[in-house]
Amino acid sequence: MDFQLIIVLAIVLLAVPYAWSQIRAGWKSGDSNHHCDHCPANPETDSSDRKGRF
Amino acid sequence: MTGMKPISIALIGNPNSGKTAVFNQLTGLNQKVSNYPGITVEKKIGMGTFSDGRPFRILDLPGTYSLVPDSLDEQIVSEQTLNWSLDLDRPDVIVAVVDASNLRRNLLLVTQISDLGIPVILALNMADRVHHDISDDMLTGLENGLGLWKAIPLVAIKGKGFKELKAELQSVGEKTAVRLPVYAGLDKEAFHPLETWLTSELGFPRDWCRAQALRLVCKSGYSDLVRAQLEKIGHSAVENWTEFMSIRDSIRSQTPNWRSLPAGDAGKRYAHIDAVLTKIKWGSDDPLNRRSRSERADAWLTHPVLGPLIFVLLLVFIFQAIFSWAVVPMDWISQAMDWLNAGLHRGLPPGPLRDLLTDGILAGVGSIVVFLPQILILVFFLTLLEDSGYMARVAFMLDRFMSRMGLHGRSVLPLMSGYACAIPGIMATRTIDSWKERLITILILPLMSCSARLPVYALMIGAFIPNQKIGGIFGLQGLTLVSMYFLGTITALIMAKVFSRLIRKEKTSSFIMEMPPYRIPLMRSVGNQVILRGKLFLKNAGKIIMAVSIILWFLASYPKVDSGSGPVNNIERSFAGTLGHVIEPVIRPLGFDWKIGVGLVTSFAAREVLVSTLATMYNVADEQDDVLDLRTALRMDTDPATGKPRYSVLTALSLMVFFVFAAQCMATFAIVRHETNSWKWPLFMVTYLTVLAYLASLVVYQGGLRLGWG
Repeated sequence: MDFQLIIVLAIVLLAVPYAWSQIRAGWKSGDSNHHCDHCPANPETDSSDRKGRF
Repeated sequence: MTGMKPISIALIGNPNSGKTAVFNQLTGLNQKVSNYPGITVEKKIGMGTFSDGRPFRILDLPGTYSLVPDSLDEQIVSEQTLNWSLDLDRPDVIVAVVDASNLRRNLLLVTQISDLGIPVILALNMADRVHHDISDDMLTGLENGLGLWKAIPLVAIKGKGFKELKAELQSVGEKTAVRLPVYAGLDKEAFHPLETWLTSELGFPRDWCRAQALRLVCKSGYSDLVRAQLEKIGHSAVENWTEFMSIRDSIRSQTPNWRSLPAGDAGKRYAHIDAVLTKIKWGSDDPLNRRSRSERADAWLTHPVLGPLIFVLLLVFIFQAIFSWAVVPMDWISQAMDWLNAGLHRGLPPGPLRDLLTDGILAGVGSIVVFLPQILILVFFLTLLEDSGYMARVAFMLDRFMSRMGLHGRSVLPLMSGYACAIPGIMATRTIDSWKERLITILILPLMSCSARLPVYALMIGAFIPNQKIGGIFGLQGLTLVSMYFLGTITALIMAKVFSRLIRKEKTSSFIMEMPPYRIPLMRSVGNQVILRGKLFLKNAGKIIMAVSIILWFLASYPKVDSGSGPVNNIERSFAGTLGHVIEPVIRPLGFDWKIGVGLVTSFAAREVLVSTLATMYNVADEQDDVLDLRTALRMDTDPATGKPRYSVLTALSLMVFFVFAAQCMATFAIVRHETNSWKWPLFMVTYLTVLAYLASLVVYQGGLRLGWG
């Protein structure tokens, strides 16, 4: 098989679960994180996973 | 220092007093701040460490005027303070954030908080707007008069005063909390049995008992909330609730005027505040001039006739700017894409990998990234409108109109937020106390055109609406864009009227909103918002859009068709083409062909994916090496059967109208399910929006054809 085709197939096969994970992330972002990952005007609302320092 | 119990800090204050700006300064986080009430509608927690290594935990609570709640966001504060009085998650210190230019009104909540017996640091935010010096004597007078740990002037958005605030916060725990004599609520002898019951059953502090007894007797809703909270935490006092009820009924029978007592309590608290402020000579040169400037501006900007006219003109200007200002940077991005494409063609031999990189990824991602300047211009203006305080005026202007449409005045700000993104808008409906009004607002919110739809509008307008002036002033492209936003807004109001007839209201609630003063937005803050949104937009392009572009390129490129001289692309017979042709009969009456059909399917991942989908499919079909300009490709596409252009102005309008109404946003669906706690409402929302989108597009396209516009 064509070498380029093998790489392409590998990329496509990786892209499918990745796209699905991104769609699930879209659901999660609304359901539990209360913001929209896909919207460019989304306010960044992470509050507990970043550390502040005085 | 690891393993130490973190110092617990809570931020409390009135809406729009700047709590979140203080939270951001203390934690280094980047929560949204703006110049209108109701930005924070849920509690947020930040963690960090002091300079000496001690950890701290800081809680940002929604803004409230009182500890007796009217709405869901205020209920969060009431529940939290109740937990503290029961020794659950009790903070070591409360930072009461007040608007120093409106101190008297803000201090009412502070007197209620100080009843808790927790050290209170008064953060006099917006100290730069007080038109007199804030002397040390004034601060000491406030501390002594109100029983505060410390009073500190701040300018949170500029980061001023935080050195002193941090030093005080660090000292918490090193000193014993000294409770100073302050006003301790309305003292009525008839209430004493209940105060005793609260002390014995719940272990409340003395002053808190007195304040709580008054609320529990006079506000039935509040006693229900307390009972529910006690049940939630499994407190034993619930078992003796009948005893509480009989004490409460006895007090009510002995006190004929019990309903008016909360007003009397507030009056006494204000009298105490006035005495303190008079003693320290606070506000003797009150900033009347500054206020009157805002009021003078409001005479024009909220005028019944001029106000809406100015608002419409402002929107026309903004949407015009989105097209005219973005031309040059969009050209730069297109040139960068061409340069990358040429590089890939030079560097890679012909084959599927090169095709994937150029026709799939570069065309798909590039077609979205090219709209970055327009998105940033929109965000820039929306942030300016919010931070200047103008958005609150729009809410005020629309209030009367809203109530005619069966909506609550409080619905306006969430709806305005929807122009940027539906999610914070839906969250902001928590400020609406009536559940039915809140539900109606949630259901119509996706009709406000969020900025994710902008690439679709901009693509269609750029391709099919001529760039010409009307009356020598207004650009047709900008006017078309404005009309899409108005179409969504007007339909939202009509749907609100329909829903308000169908969904019976349990009560009519009142709307009181504090009008924030006009402020010149800080360019640093506006710039930060624009950069943040730009990063998110690019991050999104690199994730979901790239992934969908890869998959779609494959579906549009395979299977290859044998042409006799070897396998070649035939997009019509590819997987994507087959899928598109299955969908086509359903969408054909709307003027959409199979390519748009595929785009409608993929746009359920994210609205703007429609653009990258079309870009990928046109580039797969194109035999040339260059990256096609999608707008040109759409204009030039012809139907092989008729030889006529496949798309027209009518198709563009039909597609834009479809996107005004359609509900392709996973996150919106999820948050509606979360906020309504049911599947019924999000499913209803998607169904009615999809039907509306289809019918509206059908009317536009078929109506246009009948009128001979096709």
